[in-house]
Parts: sequence; C-alpha cells; structure tokens
Amino acid sequence: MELKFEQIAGFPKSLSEKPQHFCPGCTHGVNVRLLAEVIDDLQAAEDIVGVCGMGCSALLPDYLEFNMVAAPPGLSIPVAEGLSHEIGDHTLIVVYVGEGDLYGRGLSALIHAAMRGVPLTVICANNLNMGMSGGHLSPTTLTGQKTATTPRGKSAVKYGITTDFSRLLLNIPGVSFVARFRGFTAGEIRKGREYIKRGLQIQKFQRGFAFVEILGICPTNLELSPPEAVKRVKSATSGIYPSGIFKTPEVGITL
Amino acid sequence: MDKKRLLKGAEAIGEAAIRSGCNRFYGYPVPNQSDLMEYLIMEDVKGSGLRVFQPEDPLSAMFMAYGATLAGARVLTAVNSIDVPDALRAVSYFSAAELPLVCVVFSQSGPGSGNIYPEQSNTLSILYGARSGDGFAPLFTPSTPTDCAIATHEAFRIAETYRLPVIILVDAACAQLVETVDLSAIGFKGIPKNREALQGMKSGGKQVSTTLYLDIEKMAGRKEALRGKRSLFLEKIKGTYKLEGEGEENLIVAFGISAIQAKRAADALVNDHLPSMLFEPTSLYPFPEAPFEKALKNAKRLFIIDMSEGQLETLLKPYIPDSVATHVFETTGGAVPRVEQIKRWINQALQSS
Repeated sequence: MELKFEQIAGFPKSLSEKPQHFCPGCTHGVNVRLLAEVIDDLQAAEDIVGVCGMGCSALLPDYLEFNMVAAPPGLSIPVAEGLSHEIGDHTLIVVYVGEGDLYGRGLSALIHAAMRGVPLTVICANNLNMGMSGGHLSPTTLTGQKTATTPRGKSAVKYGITTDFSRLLLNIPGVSFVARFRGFTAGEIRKGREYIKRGLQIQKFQRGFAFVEILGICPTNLELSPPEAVKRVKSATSGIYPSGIFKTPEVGITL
Repeated sequence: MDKKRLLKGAEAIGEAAIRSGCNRFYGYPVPNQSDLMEYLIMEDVKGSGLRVFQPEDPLSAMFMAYGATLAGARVLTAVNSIDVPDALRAVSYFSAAELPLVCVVFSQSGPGSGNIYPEQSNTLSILYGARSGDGFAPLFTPSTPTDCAIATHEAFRIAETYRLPVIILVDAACAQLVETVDLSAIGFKGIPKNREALQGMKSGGKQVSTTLYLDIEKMAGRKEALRGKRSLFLEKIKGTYKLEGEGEENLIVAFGISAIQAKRAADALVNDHLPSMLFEPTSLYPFPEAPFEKALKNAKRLFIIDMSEGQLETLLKPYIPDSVATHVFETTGGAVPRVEQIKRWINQALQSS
C-alpha cells in the first residue's frame, strides 16, 4: 500500500528565512510568524502592504516576504492612512507597531484614524516597555514595574494608574474589531491567529478599522529568564489586560 | 479654458497645483493655508480627481502625504510658520526616501504664536533646517500671484524629476495679494511620473521603503548616493531671480512682499533722478549666485529690505564685496515696508554717504 502525505503545516511562505534580531525568548518572533501564516492562509501576499513603526518592529521589512514601509516613530498610522487613500480599495494594509510608538506619540493619529474608520488592520505588540530603546517606561508599563527610566518601579503618582489603551477604542463607532491575546500561551496563540485573520477579513470587506493587541514579554529588559518572564507577566497583567474579542461586527464574517 | 483669473497668491498656488497634475492635498487649517485649502476643496467637490484631506494635526498631514506619495500620488501640502518644524521633519524623510513633495510655507510673524501678519523670519530656519541630516530641499520665494503660480509649476516639475521635496515660501501678504493672473501665459506642461508606485507584490518583486540603515557602511553608501544626487541637482538647476535696471550704482535686494514694495519705491525714485537696480531672488536654494554677483559688479551701494532681523543680510553676506556699502532696512512684527518709508530711507542713506 502506498502512503500519500499531504503537507498541512510548514514554514510560512511570507516569512523570510533570515535570522531575526529579536532577543532570546522575545514574543515578537511569534507575532511575526502568526502574521506571515495568516497572510499565507488568505493568499494575500501579493495584495498587501505592511507598515511598521520604530523600535523592535523597525526591521520587519527584512523578515516578511511582502511589500513593506518603515514609518517614522509615532507616524505609522498616518503613513498607512495615506497609502490607504491611494491603494486601499484593492490592497490590504497591515500596520505592525509597538505600544510605545502607538500609544505614546502615535496615540492621537490612532484615535483619529479609528474615528474615520479607515480600513486598516493594526497589530500592536504590547510588551510593557520600550524594548529597542533599552527598556524604558512605555504607556502600558505596569504600576510598580522597573524600567530604565523608573528604576524604583513605576509610580502611580508620577505616571498614573496603568490604562488599557486598546479598550479606549471600543467607544469609537468607526472601529469594527478590537481583540487582544497573550502571545506567550499556546492556547491564546491559536486564538490570536484567528483574531489577526478576522481583522484582515474585516478590512478586506471594507468594514472599518480592525485592531489586535498582542501582549508579549520582553525577558531581556525584565531581566528574567523567558519562563520566569511569562510567569511574572501572566500574574501581573491578569485583570488589567484581559484577552478576548471586545468588539466585532454584528453581521457576521464567519471564521 | 479661462485665460485670465483674478486670484490671491494662495489661490494661484492651488490653481497651478491642479494644472501640474496634483491629485492630493493634505493640510491643517491655519491662517493663509486655509485659503489654499478652501480653493482646492472646491475642485475636490467637483469630482475632478483632486482629493483634499484634513487630518488631526499638521504632522499627520505631512506623513499621510508620505504614504500617499509612496503609493503614487502627486501631493501638495501647506503649513504656516508655527508648523515649520513639522514640515521640516517630513522634508527630512522625503529626502531620505527620495520622494517628491511640494510643501508651501506661509510665513507670518514670530517667534511663538506671534501674529498672522507677514514676516520673513522663517527664511534661515527653513534653509538650514532642510539640510538636517544632509538632506536638502529647493526653496522658492515668489512674490506676486503670477510668480506663485510659476513657482508652483516649477516646484512640481523639479520634485517629480529629481524625486525630492520642494518648499515654496510665501509671506502672509503675498498669500493675500490679489492680481489678474494670465494662466495661459504660464505655459503649464504635463509632468511625467518618474517613479514606481508602491502596491502589493503583484506589480513585481518585493519592494521595501525604509530610511533606517543600521549598518554604518550601508548608511554611508546611502548618503554618498544622496550627495551625488544633490551635486547633480545643483549642476542642472540654477537659482531664479528677477532683475530690474542695469549698471546702476544703487542696488536694492528684496523678496516677497518687500520686493513688490521696493519695485514701487524704485519706480518713484527714478522720478527723483535716483535710478537704482532691483534684484529679487525668487529662489533661495539654489541661490542665484552668478546673477547676483553680476548685478553687484557696478554697484557701490546695496540696500537690503528685509522683513526679519537680518536674515536676508546673513544670506547675502558671502557675496558682497567690501567695496560695497551695505544698508539694511528692517520691518518686523507683521508690518509691510511702505513705499514712502523705503524712499525716505534710501534718500537719507544717499545723503549721509
């Protein structure tokens, strides 16, 4: 009897085989791979333009095998919106950007693009600090968390109580889809893959602004081993950054 | 098509942009810039293909322009003095990514919020600010609405041909100055596209647009290429100017609204038997060096009319020989030099020398 094998999984076509610069244990690698897999699933590599921000995401053009634009810090959303005005009707535009970039200097652009309902899929890699700059305070840093600019832990008096920025988008009518998952637990990675896919599908059908936040770990700047970092972030963020789909179009786009 | 139109400076820029194939405008309402934007929105609502966008702030406007240009649009943006730093940040990125852009700067009185009246105190900050990171941007300084239209068409031609950002500096008075513009005499020509638009990979191999080069050698190579482009540009494109009179001993230099006033004063001085030449640089980068030096050849006295605290004088200094006596007339705070003032000042200077 002859056995026939069918390949059901493999190295994503949209991912380059180049070694990545991410630190050992960093979850950016998982995020990038998920994005590549989803784009393969949707057979969208030829009809997509990616925009990445500054920081750890700035070298994404080297790792993803589709057209990419590296935007200035805080300005990936305006650049993506400008692209969308020209080619948005026939090309998907996905933005991959860190939380320091997006929720810090890019926040007003994010909220206004969301309000205008620009058909974009925005993926925010939230790792609780500005990784590339050397582990500084970011808008999502947890109260008490030590960073290079808060060596004794983030003070709630000086920097406020930790805020969930992605759920700020829920009240904006132009936003169609908001979801978050933790990029360091196997179950949620599987779900997250579907979230990214749904975001892109919503954009494809011109249903408005789609937003997915991926909670990640930054072991290097937390000065912890990857398993310890996972444990610490899991317990410290529970209740503050919950996972799940927070908003989705009422008339279904089935997965 | 109508030949002659009564247009403000800001509107003449808009009309010239439309006729130069501009199909996107990004801007944030501020004095003078709004006049340009309001003119263009009337074209947008006609549905002719030009689309006007008003983002949340001038910086977003600049970088939406960046995205749209990458995807093939021909873009016009405009700011006023207050937002010059935003414009310059974009200029740096457009230079690095070798993308065309035409950016109009309407200059008003500063520093700080200042007021909405004309001043020329942004000149040096734009000229040197565009060189940040060794980038560069040609700088036009038209005065009359007709000149504004000519400069805009030339700016689009240069921007597209050399793939670089071009700045048009117009003071608040010239932006509001109304004149009959003979559009058919300007000779608008089609400007061919000199680049590929970024799309999905369907259109070819993988394309990446970045201005980030972490490798020192790669960055040095990139800068070498940009330097080569700048030399080529400076070789091919010469500064533009307007010159009235010839061989006189008195030379007046001014640009923008002060050049218009200076011309009226010079005409009046001829009646007083005090003939003078008037040199008006209509571009400051590249600066029309050779014509200026030629105009200076027979001159004994140089009259610089400046609407800032010595910025035009700083610019001209390297070209002025010691033998020429330099007189500087400055008005700031938003006041336009009056013809009578200029006449009296020149008369006094001549009597005292």
